[in-house]
Amino acid sequence: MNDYLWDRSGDADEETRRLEELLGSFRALPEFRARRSVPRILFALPIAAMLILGIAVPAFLAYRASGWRAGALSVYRAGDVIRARSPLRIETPSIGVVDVAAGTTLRIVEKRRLALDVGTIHARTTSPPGIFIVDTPSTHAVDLGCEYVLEVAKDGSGSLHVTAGWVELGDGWVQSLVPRGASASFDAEGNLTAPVFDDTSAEFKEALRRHDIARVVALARTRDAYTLLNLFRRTTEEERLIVYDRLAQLVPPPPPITRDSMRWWTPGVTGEWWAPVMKASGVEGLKKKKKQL
Amino acid sequence: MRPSEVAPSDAELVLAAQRGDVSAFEQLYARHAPLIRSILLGRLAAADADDALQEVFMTALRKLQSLREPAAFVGWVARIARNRAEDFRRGAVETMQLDRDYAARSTQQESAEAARALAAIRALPEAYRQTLMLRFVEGMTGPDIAARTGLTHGSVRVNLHRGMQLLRGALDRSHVA
Repeated sequence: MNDYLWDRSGDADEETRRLEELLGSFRALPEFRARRSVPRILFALPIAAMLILGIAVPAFLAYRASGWRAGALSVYRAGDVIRARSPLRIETPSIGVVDVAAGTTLRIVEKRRLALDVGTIHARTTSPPGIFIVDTPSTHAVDLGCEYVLEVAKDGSGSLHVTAGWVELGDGWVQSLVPRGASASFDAEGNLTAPVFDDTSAEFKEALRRHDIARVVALARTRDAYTLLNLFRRTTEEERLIVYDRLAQLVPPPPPITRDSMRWWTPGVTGEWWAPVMKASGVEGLKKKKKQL
Repeated sequence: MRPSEVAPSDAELVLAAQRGDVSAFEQLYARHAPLIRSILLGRLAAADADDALQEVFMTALRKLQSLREPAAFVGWVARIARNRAEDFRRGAVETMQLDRDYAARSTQQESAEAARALAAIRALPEAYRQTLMLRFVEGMTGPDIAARTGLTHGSVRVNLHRGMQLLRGALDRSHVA
């Protein structure tokens, strides 16, 4: 990797320098002030309207062709809302296929982004990882090369079940990386559970649901190490130490990761534990390229 | 470093702010505003991102008493920011013209180029978008980003590397277009 991009050491390529210069224009840290300013978007609306009129007509046909097809005739485009009274399949060549269950409300946000307001979808993608995103009322599911079922209840809570590849649930800061054969849930506030494997015991799942950490660690198998590793961000200091002790029994931590370090845990503290834990849990790493369905 | 020189933790600052210490909240703002702004800038025109940043921290200040886990401050504010950005977007038509005005470069061509680069980053997947915003807009290094976000060095390296590849491709395509 270009070290300049990482820490500005070494030589920078011309493009990196140029981006630094250009994008530095947007750097600003306004003073914190209580008075609310006038939204500048109001002044931009006439300009936006002119731009839209100028490009809308020539772009229309291409846009139509790049929408989500349903059957032979229907095409859903950005802004459309699907309220499925019966099961429906939509597909687009660059993303893949999404089966929409009856009773589902699904919005087409843009070509590569859908919003599942309520109901169930079953997605099978052929697009590169990170391209296809499904928003729910409280979180996002980012396809990392996979097949999955996403359900959202009326209150905005829901669950994700991955049957192939990986899905990143969350927003990049609060996230659950859910591998094949595992599920995760989210509540109406966007709080995520740790991923849990389908083949783990019902007792383990129930203990996890009740956040009974003592019971969780008592029931955890080696394969559940991945679930335990994901619990650190969801536990108190006291609970973290309990989880640490059990996880260390199942998968010994690399030397830099000590019991004491768990008292001041941040995601970086356990970074080196991920690889051995994934291996012990039988989890395959993220693939760079996808196979066609 | 002597103990007296250690910067207070987020949790300490939040507890102080909850007791009415305004300067403690200002320290939280100074510490986390770049990160929160990068989240907003990934979704909104630059001028709107500044306005939204103010609103996000005003909301955080008003609701601070409801924050039960003081150490979770930054994640909590980030969630407020994402929700606020969605509200802005629902009522806004985003245009590159706003970003061109904001960039205020020496030539129109440079302003347009800056706005185009920003638009290309906005179109990237979240993880890459956020990391590149912090690297190029906020001027942080990779280690800075890791420290600020809690991501591992490895994750930040991957995000920078892959994000840069995607960004180059997007910019090449936009030039061709």
